Amino acid sequence: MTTLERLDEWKTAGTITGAQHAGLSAIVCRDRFSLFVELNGILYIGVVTLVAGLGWTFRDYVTSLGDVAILSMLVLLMTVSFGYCFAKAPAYSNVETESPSFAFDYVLYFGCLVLSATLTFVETRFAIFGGWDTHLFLAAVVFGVLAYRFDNRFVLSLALSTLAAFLGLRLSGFDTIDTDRLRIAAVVYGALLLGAGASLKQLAIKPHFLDVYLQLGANAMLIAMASGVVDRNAGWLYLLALLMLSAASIYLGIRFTRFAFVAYGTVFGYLGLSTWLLDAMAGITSILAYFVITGTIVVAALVLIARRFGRDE
Amino acid sequence: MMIYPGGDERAIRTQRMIKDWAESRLITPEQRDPMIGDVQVDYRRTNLFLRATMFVFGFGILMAAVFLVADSIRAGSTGMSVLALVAAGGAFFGAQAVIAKWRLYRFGIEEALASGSIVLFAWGATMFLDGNYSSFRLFLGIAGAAFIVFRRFGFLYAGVAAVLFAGMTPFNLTFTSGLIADTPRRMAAIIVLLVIFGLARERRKDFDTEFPGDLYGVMEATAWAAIYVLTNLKISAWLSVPDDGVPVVYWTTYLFTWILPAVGLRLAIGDRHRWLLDASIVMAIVTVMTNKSYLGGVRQPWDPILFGLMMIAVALVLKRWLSSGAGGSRNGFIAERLLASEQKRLAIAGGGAALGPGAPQPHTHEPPPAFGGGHSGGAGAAGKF
Repeated sequence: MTTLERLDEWKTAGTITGAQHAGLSAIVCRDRFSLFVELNGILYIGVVTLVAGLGWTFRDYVTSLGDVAILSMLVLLMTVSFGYCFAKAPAYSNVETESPSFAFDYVLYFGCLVLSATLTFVETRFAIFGGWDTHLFLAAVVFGVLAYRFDNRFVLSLALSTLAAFLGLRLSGFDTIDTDRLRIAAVVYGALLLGAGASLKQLAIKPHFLDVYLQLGANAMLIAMASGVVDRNAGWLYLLALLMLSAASIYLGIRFTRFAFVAYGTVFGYLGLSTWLLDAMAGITSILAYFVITGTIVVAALVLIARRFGRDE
Repeated sequence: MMIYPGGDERAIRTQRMIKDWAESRLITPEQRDPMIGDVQVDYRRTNLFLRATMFVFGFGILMAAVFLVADSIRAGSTGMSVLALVAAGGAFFGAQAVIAKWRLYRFGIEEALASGSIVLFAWGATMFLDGNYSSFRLFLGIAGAAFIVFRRFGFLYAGVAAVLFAGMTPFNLTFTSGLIADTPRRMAAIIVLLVIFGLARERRKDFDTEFPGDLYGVMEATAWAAIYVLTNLKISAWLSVPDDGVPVVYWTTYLFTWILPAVGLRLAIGDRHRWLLDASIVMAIVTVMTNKSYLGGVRQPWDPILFGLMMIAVALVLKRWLSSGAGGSRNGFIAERLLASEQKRLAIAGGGAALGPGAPQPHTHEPPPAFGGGHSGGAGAAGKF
C-alpha cells in the first residue's frame, strides 16, 4: 500500500481531517516542495567565503590599505552585523526562541567571524595582548554571551571550541605534544563542560543546549584518556581512568537513553583495553583470535542493550 | 529480489513520515499513535549509534576471522583468493540467515556481513586464478558484488558504491596511448555512468516517491554527479592525468561543466527530485569556482568576496522571489521549512561544518501554515539549532 493510499484510508476512517489529508498529500506528492535547506546551504557558503576573502584581501593588501583603513572596515562590518542582530532579535528568554528572519543567524555568524578576524589582525599587527591566550579567551567569552543572547547553538559550539583552544587543546596536540599537563587540562575542560551543562539545565537556562556540552565534554575527556593509554610512556592510571569513564558513559547513556554515549564508551573502552592487552600478545594468530573473541563479546553485549533499551529508529 | 517485502519497506518509510509530521506538528500526538499502529512491521531495529557500533565490530570480527583461517591453513595468494570468495559467499548467506532467524532490519550485524561479503568478493576476484593483483577485477568485483547486495538487501550505500565503482572501472584499462590517452577512458566511464543514470532514472520514475524509487533517485543523482566530476578536468586530475593539452578536449569539457549543472537543475526542478537538485546546485557552485582556472585567469584575493556576495545575493533573491509568490509559493516551491526533518538535515550539515571553518546553526523560522484547519495547527515545529 502506498503512502497516498494510507492517507486516503486515514481520511475515510476520520483519523485525519480533509485539510490535513490535502496538506500531507501535497507534501508526499511534492506538490509543495521546500527549498529551505538549499537556501540555507547557499547562504552559509556565501558567508564563509566572503569572510575568507576579506581575510585574504586584508592580509595581501595590508601595506597599501593601511592598518587604520582595515581596522575601520572590520569594525564597521562588525558593528553593522551585531547592530542588526541586537535591533532585530526578540528579548532574551531562558527558553528556546525563534529567529526573527531568514538571514539573521548568518548575520550573527558573519559578525562572529569578523570579530575573530579583527582580534587576529590586532594581535598580528600590534601584539597588544602579548600572545594568543587573551585573544582566544576574549573570543570565547564574547561568542558564549552571543550564543545565549541570540539562542544559537552553533555560536555556542564556536565558543566552547575556542575555549578549548585557549586551554591548548587541539586534536593534533595529542599527537605532537607528549605531556600529561595537556591531558589533565582536557579532563578539567571536559568536567567543566559537563558540570556547566548539567547546572544550566538544572537552572532551566537554555536547557536545549545541554547536548552541546555533553558531546564536547565527554569526547574531550575520553580522547585525553585514550591518548594517555596509547602513549607508552604514560602510566596505567590512564587505562583505569579510561575504563571508568567508558563505563560511566555507557551506564549514563543507557539510563538517559542517549545512545551516542553508549557508542563512545564502547569504542573508547575497547580501544584502550585492546591497546594494553595486545602489547602482551605475541604472534598474529593470537591477535586475530583476540579480535574475534572480544569482538563477539562486545557485539553480544550490544545486542542485549539494543534489545532491552535501544529504541527503534 | 529484495529480502524485505516491498510492503514492509513502504510501511517503514511511512512510519518515518508519520513521526516527521508529528514533530512538525502537522498531526497531533493523538492522531500519530493510531497511524503508527497501522503501519507496524515485525522487525528488530535499533537506533543509529548502536547500529553503527555493531556494524564496525561485526565487520572487524568477519575480517579477523577470515585472516585467522587464512593464517591457520597457511594460505598462499591463490588459496587466499579462494578463501575470500568462499567467505564472501558465507557472509552473504549469513546476512540472509540472521535476517530470516532474528528478523533484523538495519541492525548493524546483517549490514556488516553483507558489506563484508562485498569486500571479500572483490578481494577474491582481484587475485582469482593466477594470484596476481588486478585492479580491473577489483573495481568490477566491488561494483558487481555491491549491486547484488543492493538488490538483495536494499542497502543504499551498496547501491551508491556499485554506481561509483562501475563508473571508475574503465580507468583500469588502456585504450590508446600518446597525446590522447586519458580521454577515451573518461569517455568510456561517462558512457557507463550515463547508462546507469538512464536506468536508475527509469526505475525511479516507475515508483516515483515510493520505495524503491527513493533508492534509485539517489543512484541517479550519484551517477550524474560522477559524470560531472569526470567532465570537470580541474577537479578530477587526481583520478588520471587529463589530456588538457588538446584544445578540443579542454574546451569541450569546459562547455560541459556549464551544461551539466544546467541540465541537472532543469531535470530536478521538473521532477522535484531533491537529490538531483542538491547535486546540481553543488555542481553549479563548483563550476563557478573552477571557471577562472579553466580560463587561465590569475586568482585574486577578492575573488572569494565576489563569490561569497554572489552566493548571498542568490540565496536572498531566491528566497524573496519564492516568498512573494501567491501563498508564499512559486509553482509549489517554497522557501520556508515544511518538515522537522529539514531542520535535522541542516543540523547534520552544520555539525560537519563545525569541524571546518564553522557554520552558523540557524534558528528555525516559524514556518507558514502548510495547510489550515484540522488538528494540525499547521505550523510551529519548535526544533532549532
